[in-house]
Amino acid sequence: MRAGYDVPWIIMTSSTDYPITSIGASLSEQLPRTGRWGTVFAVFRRSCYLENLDGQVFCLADSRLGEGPLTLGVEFSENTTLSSIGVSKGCHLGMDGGDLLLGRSIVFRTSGMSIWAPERVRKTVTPKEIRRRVNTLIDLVRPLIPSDGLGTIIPHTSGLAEGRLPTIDLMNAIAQLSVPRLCRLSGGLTGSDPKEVDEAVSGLVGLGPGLTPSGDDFLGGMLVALQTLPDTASQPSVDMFSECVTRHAAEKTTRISSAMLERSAKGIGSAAEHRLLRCLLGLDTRPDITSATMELIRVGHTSGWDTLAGILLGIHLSLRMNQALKETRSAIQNPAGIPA
Amino acid sequence: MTVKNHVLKNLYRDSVALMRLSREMEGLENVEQATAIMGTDNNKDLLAQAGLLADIGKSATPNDLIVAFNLTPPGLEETVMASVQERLTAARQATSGGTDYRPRSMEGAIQSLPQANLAMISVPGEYAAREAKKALDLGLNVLLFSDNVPLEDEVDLKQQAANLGLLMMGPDCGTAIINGAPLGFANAVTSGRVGLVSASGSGLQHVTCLLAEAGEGISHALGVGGRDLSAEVNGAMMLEGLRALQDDSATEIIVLISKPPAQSARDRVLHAASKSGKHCVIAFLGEQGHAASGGNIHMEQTLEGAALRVLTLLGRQMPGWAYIDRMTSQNIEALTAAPNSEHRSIRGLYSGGTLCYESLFILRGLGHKAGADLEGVPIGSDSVIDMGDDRYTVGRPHPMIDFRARCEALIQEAGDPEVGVVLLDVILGYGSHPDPASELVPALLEAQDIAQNSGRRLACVVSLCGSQDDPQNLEQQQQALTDTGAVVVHSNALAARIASAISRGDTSALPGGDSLA
Repeated sequence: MRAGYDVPWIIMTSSTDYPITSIGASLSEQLPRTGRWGTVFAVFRRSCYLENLDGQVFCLADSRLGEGPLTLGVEFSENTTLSSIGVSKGCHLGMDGGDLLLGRSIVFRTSGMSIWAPERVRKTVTPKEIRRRVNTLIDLVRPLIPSDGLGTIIPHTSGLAEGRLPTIDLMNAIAQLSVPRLCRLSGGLTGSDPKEVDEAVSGLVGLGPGLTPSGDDFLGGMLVALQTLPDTASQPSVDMFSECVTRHAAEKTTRISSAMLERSAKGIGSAAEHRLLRCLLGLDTRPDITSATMELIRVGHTSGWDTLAGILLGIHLSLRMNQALKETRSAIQNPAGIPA
Repeated sequence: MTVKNHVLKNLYRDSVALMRLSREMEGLENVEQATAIMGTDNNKDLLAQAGLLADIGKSATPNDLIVAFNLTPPGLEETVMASVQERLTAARQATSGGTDYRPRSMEGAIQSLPQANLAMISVPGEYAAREAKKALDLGLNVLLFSDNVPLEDEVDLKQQAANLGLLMMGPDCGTAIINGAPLGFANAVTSGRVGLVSASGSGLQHVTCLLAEAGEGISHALGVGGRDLSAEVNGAMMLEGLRALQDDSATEIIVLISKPPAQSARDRVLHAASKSGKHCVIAFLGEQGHAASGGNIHMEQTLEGAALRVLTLLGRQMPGWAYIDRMTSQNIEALTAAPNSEHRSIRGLYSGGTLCYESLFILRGLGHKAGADLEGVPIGSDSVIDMGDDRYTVGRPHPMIDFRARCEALIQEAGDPEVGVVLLDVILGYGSHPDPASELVPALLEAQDIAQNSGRRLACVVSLCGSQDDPQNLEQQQQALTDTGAVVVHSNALAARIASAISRGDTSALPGGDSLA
């Protein structure tokens, strides 16, 4: 054997540059000209969360984790962890000479960063086509659905939007608790009943395992879907739902989750959520449902799945509310039901 | 029983870490139930309903982590909490990436380790070619674990490596053994006189294990990535690997493995092999035609065939894995005589892509209408799927590491009245799950119960790939799987034939205790 094939040694490499690649649109408006901006309160492998002087939460993350409204995306090399470059709880982030400085020596360059905002769905396909795409998605993910979290509800979202309770005996404890509350939430939204909505939301916010509990991820997905469907005839109900979630989230869940839900209530989710919604709803989008779905369900342990389940219920509910409103209008215009 | 809560103020851990902590706590001695969950009101209600909320837990805020567990018998709280603290600390260290020195560039790594002659690269596909080129420029051989590398980059990199006389293993190369050092997913096999070059990771593992079990060791086993024998790459690294083994005095016989290659690559490889001056056993899996020998070239269609041919050339006795022993034979007969003889479709749930491919073409060769997808399988038809495919691994580790997806699929298939035979592979070795049987055995038992409760009998056939020295203990794995009533054999091709025989209710084509050869 040639000398080159002697005992192998493994080499790993990493980059030393930390350019910011993207920043959420509303977050960019908060960038200070100079001085302290926020303080780190939670550090994970590839992201950390900060709180600004007004108590608002935002995230600094490896750009590979995806864009979002509250995210500063940074280009790290593959093996870089935030702790390994010196990020720790209590570090201050501030603007220094046009770049962001974390702690005493970690510089994040702002030149070249782009501002991220979700691309809106301008024109939707027909309700029939939306249902077809949703069914395609459900068929795709059915064999992959994890037993934990709320992903297990995905095949039942259409029935839940109609107020039908699926069999819950074989579901996990979180799903068993959530399903009746979701059924109640669906009924409250279609019946424009604030009390029902409030009680259901109260039972879902902060429910379940994870940094962003499953109930929150579900509600986040649902809000973004409901706010994304344009021309929806149910905007008052959606607004009432959004206000209710924001109010409960401020008190009843983690501050990271609360910040996420606050943005979702305004119809702004992660890039992965918006990409999937464009694929499911958009007339002018090539419906690459598979890759969009896979991108979303990669998030967290069950967070992506929980969000997906919420998105699907949101879509079904929006279609149902629109249909109900059309029928009501038709009945008002033609009360005797006489064919034209 | 004692319920204990521990509240960790303002502590954030990611979801995966919390899930893992919960599971590990439940595995501790004397712990009946355990969870680690954020202290929201709804979660506290949840804990109360589960009987896991203690007074101290009631004081938690939504930003606190509650670690809750109950103990039987009481009195070991401190031991459990020490264990929890240890795990939380370990999780923090894992997050920080440890304190060891890690070079920040390829050049820095070379300076700190001047004797290095191989770079193992695992970065996202879009960056992989750049890193691989950097390594080649520094005169390093490369094992490129990354996938999603553009084909044109692969062609360029392999051309550069060939010009420099270096090996460019990959992209998407997960297995190699060099001078006895296993890289990626590989098995603990002894050093010996057989050298391999393979465009298939699980194929490489399977053949090295079959040879190791028969007492033959490996000189080097070189993975080259699944596209090496495409028309574009044209066998560039299989040729380099062949050349390296040809020059290697420790290598007496060379084995080349691939799925059917492009014609031009096939011609180049066969030409080079014929000039190598060593016996070359070539397994282009599923290629039309029959096994044949001519000069120093020996063509085989299966991994099992390749291993058998090597052993024959080395004058070895027929190995044990080529036989069906008496107990296994009795088990197969019993499964064949089960009542649901009309409904015995086969479902193959594989973690190794090449093993899956081999089973598929063996079943088709035996006349089965076998598909490669779980969805829309026509009634009475069979399917064999690769659960390591991107479709099934998104959001999860590879099924060689994480058995959840396969266990879930197994349970689901058990409920299908048309399904009578489930075919699985279990791959041991470095990098694989530390104890596959601990995951599979409960699922196998549950699957058989489901079938039995609907008046059927479900046959489970396992192709077990591993060596005696693998960290998982081959013997214990085999025993645990066999104890579930599964048929466990070491040859994947034999497993596929057994599945076919049970499916058809006819074992006459099986060797029945005789050699397969």
